[in-house]
Amino acid sequence: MDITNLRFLFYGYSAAWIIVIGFVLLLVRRGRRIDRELARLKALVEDR
Amino acid sequence: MTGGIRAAISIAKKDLRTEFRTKESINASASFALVILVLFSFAFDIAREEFYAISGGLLWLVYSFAGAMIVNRSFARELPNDCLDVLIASPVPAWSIFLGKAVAAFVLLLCVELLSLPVFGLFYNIRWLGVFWPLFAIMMLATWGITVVGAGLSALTVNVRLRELMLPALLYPLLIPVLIAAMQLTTALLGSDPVNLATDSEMRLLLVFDIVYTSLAMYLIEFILVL
Amino acid sequence: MREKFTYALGLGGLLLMIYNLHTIFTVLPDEAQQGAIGRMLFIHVPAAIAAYLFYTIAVVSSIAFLIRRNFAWDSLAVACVEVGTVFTFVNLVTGSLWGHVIWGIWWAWDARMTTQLMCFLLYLGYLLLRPAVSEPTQRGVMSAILAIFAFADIPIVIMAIRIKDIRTQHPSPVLETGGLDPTWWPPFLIGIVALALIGSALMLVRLHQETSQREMDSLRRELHAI
Repeated sequence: MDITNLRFLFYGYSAAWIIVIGFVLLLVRRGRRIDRELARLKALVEDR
Repeated sequence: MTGGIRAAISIAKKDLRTEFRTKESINASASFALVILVLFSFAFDIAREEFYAISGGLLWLVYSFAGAMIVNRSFARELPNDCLDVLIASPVPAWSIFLGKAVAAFVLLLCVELLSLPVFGLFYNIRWLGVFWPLFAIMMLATWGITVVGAGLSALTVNVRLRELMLPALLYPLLIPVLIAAMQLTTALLGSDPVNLATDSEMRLLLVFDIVYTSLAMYLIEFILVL
Repeated sequence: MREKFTYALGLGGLLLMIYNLHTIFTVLPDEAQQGAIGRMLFIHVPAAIAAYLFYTIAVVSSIAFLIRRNFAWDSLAVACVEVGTVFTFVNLVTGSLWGHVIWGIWWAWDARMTTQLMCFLLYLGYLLLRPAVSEPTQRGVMSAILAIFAFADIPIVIMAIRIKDIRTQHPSPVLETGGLDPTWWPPFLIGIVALALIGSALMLVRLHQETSQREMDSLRRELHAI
């Protein structure tokens, strides 16, 4: 009982961290894409 | 105020007249309701006594599916020939356009419900005639809840890509309290549990939901239609 | 400056969280009836509270957007809803794991769980709607109205479910009963603060992205105009 108890406690906290880290990774990916796109567009505007 | 209500009534009349001429959404949603009723008989293979315990749930699932089909057309029917723009440009307050649309959807959905109720009773041996009036009161309140939220979301999503997919995804989670209350009450009524509608807390809940969303939607529709 | 502030918030939250984890796992004794799994409280409840905090900010900024039509409010609202939804998900997952140990089932259709799930679904609908609308003003107005609709739904859902299901297995909320051991209060409160800080940092990052996205859209329009 105590071992499963601890195991599920571990699962719980890891799940929480994994969800948050997953969200952070999502944010980072989206941020990179936006930065790249923004730089490209600014360069295009300057070219004109 | 009275002018707005008069305008709302004429919009509701116009909607109902076009609908009863073409019968496009009422036919579709009534036959859809029938098909689902038939499908349920294959999904649940249980004795008649036990069936009473899930009857309210089944009935309201059917009604909410039919409702989503009806409100989907509510504002979308104005899109061809830019009728919606003309409606918005007309000297009628936004809330009365909305109220008219909601009332029309309410009448249509109530028609579908009254059509499918006898079929439901017939297929599943549910005795509903004895409790028809209390059931009708529940149907009025819950149906208004479904159509007022539905018409609001219909206005909201009218210009959205994938409107037909987006509306149910937004509508059903919002409708959960209405459906819970209506399902519980209907199951209790059909299972001939004593329900005192005047004091029942679920009945009050339906009333609260209707009031909250009617006022919210009538106030916010201005922002939706006149961007 | 902005980036430094965001990192400081995030780092502060993270440090608090690590300090808190140390207290939770090494200092505090096991919960008398539940054993080790009782410690799930320190992530489960703060996540729910932080989520509601962000939902509240979201509805306030949605109303502000409808009145002021300033896109900063729209960005704030969407950033808050996204972080709130992530925290609601954390709350649901940890609760489900706790229930698996204590109740022996992953999910009970109990009042608070159902409410949380509804919240999650409502705000998921909000996040689904946004990419479907391309015109910025329209998108802002629609999502603001949906945020208000969703927020109004939460108390009614709570009412509906409480009527239906009086006999709940879910422990009474500590905030309502105050039945928490004095030694458990500090890590519990620190947990709320830590998650709120981490959430704010994430929210600021998201907010900045939304601002850049808008800048990008206006650049695109400019390019088309040329």
